[in-house]
Amino acid sequence: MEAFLNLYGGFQDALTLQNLYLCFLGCLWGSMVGVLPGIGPLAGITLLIPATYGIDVTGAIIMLAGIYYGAMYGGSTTSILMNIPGESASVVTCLDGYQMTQKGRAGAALFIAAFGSWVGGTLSVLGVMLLAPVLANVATRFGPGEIFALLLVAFLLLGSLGTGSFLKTSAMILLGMLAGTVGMDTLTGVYRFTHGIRDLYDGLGFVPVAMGMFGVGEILSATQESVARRVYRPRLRELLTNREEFRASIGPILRGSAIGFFIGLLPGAAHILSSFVSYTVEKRVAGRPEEFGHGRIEGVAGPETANNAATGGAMVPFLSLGIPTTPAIAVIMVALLIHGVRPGPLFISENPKLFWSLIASMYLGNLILVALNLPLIGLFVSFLRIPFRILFPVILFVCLIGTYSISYNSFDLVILLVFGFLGFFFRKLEFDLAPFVLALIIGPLMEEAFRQSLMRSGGSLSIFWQSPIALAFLVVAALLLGLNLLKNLKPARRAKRGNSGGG
Amino acid sequence: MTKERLGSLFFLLVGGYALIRSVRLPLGSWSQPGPGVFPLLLSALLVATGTALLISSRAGKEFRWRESLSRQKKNGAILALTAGFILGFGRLGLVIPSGLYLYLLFSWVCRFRPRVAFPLAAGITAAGWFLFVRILNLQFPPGPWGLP
Repeated sequence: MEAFLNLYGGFQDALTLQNLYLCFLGCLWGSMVGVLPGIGPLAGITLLIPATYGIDVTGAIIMLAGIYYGAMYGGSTTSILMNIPGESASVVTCLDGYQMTQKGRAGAALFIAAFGSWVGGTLSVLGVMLLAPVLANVATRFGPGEIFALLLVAFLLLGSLGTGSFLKTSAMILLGMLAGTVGMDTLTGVYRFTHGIRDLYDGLGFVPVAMGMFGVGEILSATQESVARRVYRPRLRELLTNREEFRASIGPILRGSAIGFFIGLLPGAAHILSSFVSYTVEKRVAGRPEEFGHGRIEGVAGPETANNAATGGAMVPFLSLGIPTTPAIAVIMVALLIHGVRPGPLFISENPKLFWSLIASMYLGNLILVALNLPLIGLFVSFLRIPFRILFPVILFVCLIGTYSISYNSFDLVILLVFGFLGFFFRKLEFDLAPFVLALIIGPLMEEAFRQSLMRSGGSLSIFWQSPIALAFLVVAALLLGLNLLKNLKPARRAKRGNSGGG
Repeated sequence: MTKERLGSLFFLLVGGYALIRSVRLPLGSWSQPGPGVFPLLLSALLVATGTALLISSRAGKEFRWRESLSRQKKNGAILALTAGFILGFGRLGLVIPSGLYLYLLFSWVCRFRPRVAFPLAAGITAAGWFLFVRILNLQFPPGPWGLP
């Protein structure tokens, strides 16, 4: 009951002209960013951070959050019309979405993707509204020992759920955490790995690293691919499903909402994972599963709902614990820090107005998106017709200026370039980049918690298991580690048995 | 050489370097851990993980060096031009380096003719100036002749 009263207050703030305008702007920009391959929500959010300097923090987070969930709406457009995912989370939508286009049902696919996204997005915001304050309340009792153990679980989950093997993902996490130690140690003032370079005293900077890896790295990879650009352009009156298609989509949409929200709580590739899991579930549940991949509407409804519901799920650990679970949310966190607000267990209690305004704006934003995406299909299709060799220099240019504008330091551009090359290098070797950038921002928190724990306990490691909460997290961490190591050992054992059997 | 092997060599190199640098930092004591403790732990784990990856990566996707190198001329040009932009930006401001950078990208990398590349570069530079300087009010290093 209290939550709904607070929500009412949130709507009063969110419905001011300025905040409505900023929500609309964020959703529009997010949709465009989602539609255009080569530029994702991370770059989209970073580019608008400078635009938030002149506005209050409420308006800033409303706009930036709008970009984040707006990109999930936009990503389905290219998947359905061109068989090219505009966003990595929309890969699965290509399987049946494009097939529906080829059968002349592009409009129905686009409609159900937008409708499902709206339902998933709205239900997940309800989940955030109910779960985040409860989790934050529990987390206020966490000391540094509990925080360290929780972050350890988060990292091991990231390793388990990464798109690569556990070893590969773990290596990227460790590399990211190591990169997070560059700069001045906050507890002692000692400089680490700076080699006397003054610009490194404050560390590498999350934005140049993330923009380099995801922005520049993506472009360097994409210039090698030749992309056929046949774009189907549906008319506005074609943008509806028939009764049978709509009825068939209800179950997948409801299941996708639950799947997406709960998977979104986990760190890592939640959007991609949720859409894959939803697709798999729908294939199992449906009659005639052999028709999947040939234009089944359930193959669009479920995954698109799930990847939008995951945005809400991802907001929960961020708002209640201060743990960003995706690179895009990490950038929103950086933007909040620039505005002097620190997400964490005390965020909701210290900034209730901000929290509830954000929740209200997410309800509004989801409505704006479903109203925007369908009528503006024509405009988005026009963008898609722009050849990539005209687009990528513009994207590069905007990435450079956007990165410079964060701290007005040219050295950030050097970091952008270096990590752009590294991002490309890791993509070629098929190593996942998200764990690296998440570890870059979470690693320093983990180090601080670890050292503070030891200082409090006078050097005794028992602080990590004396608290029942920390002990529970450590047990979960040990189980995750054990399971992952077993999983990695099994293929090696099978290969050994095969060799000895053949010899 | 598989992709995983190449990756693991990178991790071993970085981990080894970080390990050597970390032991030179103050390690402190158990009750007052110094700034070197966490990097030491991380670099040791990275070396261990890199080693495990190296050992386990015998079967994997082959990294095709020759094929990769021959396709990298475009990317090499993009990186070189971007480095040039970064160098010029600090000394010449926004407009001149941007215009030159975009023109060279469009003409050399994207293979547009000068009569197409020039208006594209000029138009995008002008739009960028309007958006970043006039609307967003961002500050850039001063350029020659009073240009931003």
